[in-house]
Amino acid sequence: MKPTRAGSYTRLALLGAWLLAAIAEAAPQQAKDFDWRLPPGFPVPRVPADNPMNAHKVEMGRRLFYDVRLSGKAGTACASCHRQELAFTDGRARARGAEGDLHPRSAMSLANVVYAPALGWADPDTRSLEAQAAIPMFNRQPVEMGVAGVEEHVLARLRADSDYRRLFAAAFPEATGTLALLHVRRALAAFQRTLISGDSAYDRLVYRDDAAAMGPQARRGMRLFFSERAGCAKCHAGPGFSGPMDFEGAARAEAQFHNTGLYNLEGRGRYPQGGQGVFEHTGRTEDVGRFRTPTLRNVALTAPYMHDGSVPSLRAAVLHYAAGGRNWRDAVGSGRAAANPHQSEDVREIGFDETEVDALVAFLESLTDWAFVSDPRFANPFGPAPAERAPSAAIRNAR
Amino acid sequence: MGLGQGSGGMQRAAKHFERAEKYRVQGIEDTRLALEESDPEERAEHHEDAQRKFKRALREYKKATRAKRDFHYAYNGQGFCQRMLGDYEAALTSYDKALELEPGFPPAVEYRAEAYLRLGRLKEAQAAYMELFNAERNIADLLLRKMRAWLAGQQKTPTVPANELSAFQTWVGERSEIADQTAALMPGEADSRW
Repeated sequence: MKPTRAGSYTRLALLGAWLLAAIAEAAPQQAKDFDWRLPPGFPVPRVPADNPMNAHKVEMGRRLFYDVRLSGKAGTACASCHRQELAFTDGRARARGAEGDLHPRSAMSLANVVYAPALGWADPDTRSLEAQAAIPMFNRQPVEMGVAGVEEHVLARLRADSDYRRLFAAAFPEATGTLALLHVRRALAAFQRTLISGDSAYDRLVYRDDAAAMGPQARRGMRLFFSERAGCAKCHAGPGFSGPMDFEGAARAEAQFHNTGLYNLEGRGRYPQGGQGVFEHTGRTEDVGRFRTPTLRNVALTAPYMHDGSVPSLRAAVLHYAAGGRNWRDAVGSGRAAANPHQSEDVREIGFDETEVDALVAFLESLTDWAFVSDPRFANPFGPAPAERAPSAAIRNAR
Repeated sequence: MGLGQGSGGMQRAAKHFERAEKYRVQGIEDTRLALEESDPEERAEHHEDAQRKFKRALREYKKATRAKRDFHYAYNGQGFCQRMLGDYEAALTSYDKALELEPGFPPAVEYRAEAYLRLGRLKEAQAAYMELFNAERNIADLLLRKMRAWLAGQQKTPTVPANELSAFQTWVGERSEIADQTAALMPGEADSRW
């Protein structure tokens, strides 16, 4: 018997059922009350007090997410760069905007984005999905959705749609005026908060006790992934495999940013212009090349990899870390230099053999959540039936 | 508040509950002393002291649950004492009641799993572990340690069939490995990153 545990339970009990009940009644209930359909092991997400969740808002957000009328030229939607069948990425090395502009970075997966303490690849200051939604709408360099300057035109299109009028009234019962961009951003954020992925083979093994969910090679890869030697889980931590998570009842988490040794231009630690990571926000030399740890959930569907899509395959990504970074001397892909002076200490040469690389790839493939990428709740409401939008045979065969 | 109970009932329940907790903690302390004692007579004496305290605590918990019929903490304490007194079936009934009132209440889930172990109901203990693993990792880890300790005891004095024991041992080994591997994936009190 452990006196410490008994003491702990006793203290808990002595707080009194009444006191706990009183605290529970006083606390905001809405995040817990929403039907999140959380997978086992996933905490209740944190939701901003000024944008409570409700089903109408989520549905409105889903329509907006897939609606090309939300862009200036009515040809681009959020979903243009965040495709469900690719775990809400776009399969491109770098995203392309409404006017053809190439974005300096690739589209990040939106799986479990509700738990991210900061958003985007390298922006420590954008911490809410409501704030993030404004970036692609109004960004001018590059133009993403091209809403800047034509806001009223875009809003007029949406206000003219009877579905939006109906959903707006139900989603924002407290609103007094007409649909505004604030409501658009809030609805988009509410929808994105529901994009929770936790039904992979890994989840079935770990959280549902299904010993047959993962084969021996993937299990070997899992041991390696979590080993001190490989150290993958040092950065790809949390149920989201993306580092610290923000959720209801927890202290505010801070996002982690790492320089993984992709570049070392001129041997001076520099990264290509437009892709210099946190440095672009802070101006501090030590922040050059630091990018947020992306989720590894569904990673088999989100190639190419890294912030600029410069690593083409999962195997190449594993080999990148096995080699302790790539550290290209030039920006077009050649001339490995010495380690970047700002490179994370956790990225160092490991020297996996071929069977270990295969095992790690098998483990990473076991993080694919096929239910998530074909879930009708997240599908295009304007498009073909969900069954027709299931992952292609080519993607499935890649397992 | 329980059905048809006013503030008087709540006050009575609180009074009995606090007394029960005091006796229970004393019983736990006496049990610890008994386990640490090498002298058989001293050990037996500590053990008897512990049993006496658990009986007193049980009486008080029962009074608390009579005064406040939805008092899941008290049912949980009642089950604890019954288990420590060796009445596992009665303990299960108390834990079931606590969990009926407060579904998923982690201490009751864990204590009930220990009672299942004692009764050789291994599948139910495993299910309890998974419930805790997905809700309260610290308590799940504790139950896993209890399972390992129970297995060690079974090596000396088996009480379940060999094939069941072997399967359970394999399962505990696998879950221990998974628990170790994924410990860093869970929010921990000591880890400021979370």
